[in-house]
Amino acid sequence: MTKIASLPIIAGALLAFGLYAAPAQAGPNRTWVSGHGADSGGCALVAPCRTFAFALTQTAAGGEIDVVDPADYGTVTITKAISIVNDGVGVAAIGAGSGNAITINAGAGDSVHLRGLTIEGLGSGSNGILFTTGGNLAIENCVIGNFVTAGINIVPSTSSSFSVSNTIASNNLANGILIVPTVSAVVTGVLSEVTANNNFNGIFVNGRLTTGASFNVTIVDSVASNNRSGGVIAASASGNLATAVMLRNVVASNNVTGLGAGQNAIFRVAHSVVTGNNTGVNTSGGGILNSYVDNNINGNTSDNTAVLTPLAMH
Amino acid sequence: MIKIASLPTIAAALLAFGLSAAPAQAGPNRTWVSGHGTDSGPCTLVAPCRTFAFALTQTAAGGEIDVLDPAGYGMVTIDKAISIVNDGAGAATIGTSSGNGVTINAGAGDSVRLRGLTIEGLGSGSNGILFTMGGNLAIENCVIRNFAGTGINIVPSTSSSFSVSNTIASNNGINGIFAKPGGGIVTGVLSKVTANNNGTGIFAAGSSVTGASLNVTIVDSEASNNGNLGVVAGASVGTTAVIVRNVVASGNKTGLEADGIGAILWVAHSVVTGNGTGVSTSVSGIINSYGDNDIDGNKNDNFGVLTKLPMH
Repeated sequence: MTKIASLPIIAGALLAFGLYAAPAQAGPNRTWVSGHGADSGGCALVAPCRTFAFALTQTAAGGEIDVVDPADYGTVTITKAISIVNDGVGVAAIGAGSGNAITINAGAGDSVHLRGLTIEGLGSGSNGILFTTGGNLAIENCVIGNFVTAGINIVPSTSSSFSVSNTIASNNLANGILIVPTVSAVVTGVLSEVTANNNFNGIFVNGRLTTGASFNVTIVDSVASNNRSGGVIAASASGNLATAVMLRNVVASNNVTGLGAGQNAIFRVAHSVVTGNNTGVNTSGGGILNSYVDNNINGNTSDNTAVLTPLAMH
Repeated sequence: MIKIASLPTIAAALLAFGLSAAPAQAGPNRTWVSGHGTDSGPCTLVAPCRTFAFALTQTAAGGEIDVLDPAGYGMVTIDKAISIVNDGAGAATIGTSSGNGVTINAGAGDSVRLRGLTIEGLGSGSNGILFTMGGNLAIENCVIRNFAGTGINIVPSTSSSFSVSNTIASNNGINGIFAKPGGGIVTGVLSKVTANNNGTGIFAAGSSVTGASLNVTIVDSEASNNGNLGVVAGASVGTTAVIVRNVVASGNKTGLEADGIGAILWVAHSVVTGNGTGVSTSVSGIINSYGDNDIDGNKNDNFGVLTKLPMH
């Protein structure tokens, strides 16, 4: 008769081999995905998984999903703090011909970090990245294009902050980057080295829906060009606190309107180039366009610089 | 007697194995190429292809060819909307001693995107990238060198737009970057571009067709050590408008030039130094300066040709 080891002995043996039942609630802090992976197990480096979505289920909140090699890793809905990181191994892609490539509906204090992703909407996907709740969103080194509503759609219902850097949001049907807080969310963010070309609006800072006490976006070292309507535009709800957009070293060229300060929005623009647009700069509905008087606004069909209010540097 | 399965049975078996006849008209939206690939089949991740040209035949219009690993991927002629993307997998190269590295002759509304390519002309290739027709051309993170003609040659016959960023177009015989409309309106942005050691660094050339226009914005870029001109806006019949901001034009025969009626070049926040002539205008070309440039240390600064323009 074969003696079968008792469970404690088996467990002890498993532990000795470095295997154990993964904790039901947490999971490892770092998981790996590969184009040659398989969606099973703990997504270890030596046995990586195949999709972001599965790896997410295996990763502890606040952990990191790392990309081993180029592949399409599939759409994913994020409901907890997480980082998804491709740090230069080749294309880490998500193709989404319908719905969103990445949906973020995390906890109100959660940090989400996305790096090095190439996100493709095939002309029919809704949003490349849709952020509806979370504490902080960081997007770096991403390329997002061919979506219907927005490449990046930041629409938080709770107060949050965001940072987008070295990222392209182009060739989207409606918006390259759309930021529209809702309810009473107070939102602040920075766009740095961002390119938003060939959309309807390049960058739309939309404060119309929030009753929050402030809404503040800084855009630096960026390009919004060849958009079918606005390069960079902003608006607030009537009676609400003004949406404030600070622009420095931005190129707004070859749009219908280069920079548009709509209802109750304040633009402050420095060190920027506005050229080749039908209308260079425009204000409407009480919007204000402050200039530090160091901008190059020429070569538009109508420069329209008379709408500018000079502002002193300090 | 050997029983041969009927065709429906064979088809079902093939489907069961995950194989299917590739759609005749479309193909997958995403294909893959690898230095270890083979030019056959639909160029999947697990069975990648070997050349851009073959992968292009397998990719749906508007799709994306992705690079898996470093290799020479061969010349390609693009006739539809497509992206060719190397996002940091190593050198994805095209080397050619004759003809063009990439020829783009797509539909008038097609978007073409090239990212992360290293294109080498071996001293005798014609153009690194030749764009003759398409709606929009985006070039990012590319290096294009050693062509006898032009590194990036943007000559669309219809209206189109272009964007070149974080790209080097250097050591080319005639131009680093050349743009000239055929009959339409062409607009573009060059951002973080380096055009050194060419005949001319960046040449925005006017169309020879009435009503055609060219509008180019050049920011955060460098045009240095070119044998002839650093940056030139030229116009004959159509108009050419070039805004230059935060650009270095150094060590050229002439740093910045506006040449011809209808050629306007605005220059802001830039450095023009070490050239034979700093700035130059001819045949009623205009260079507008915002008064915030460093134009010194040229054999002949020549800033007398500048028209002062206020900032806003």
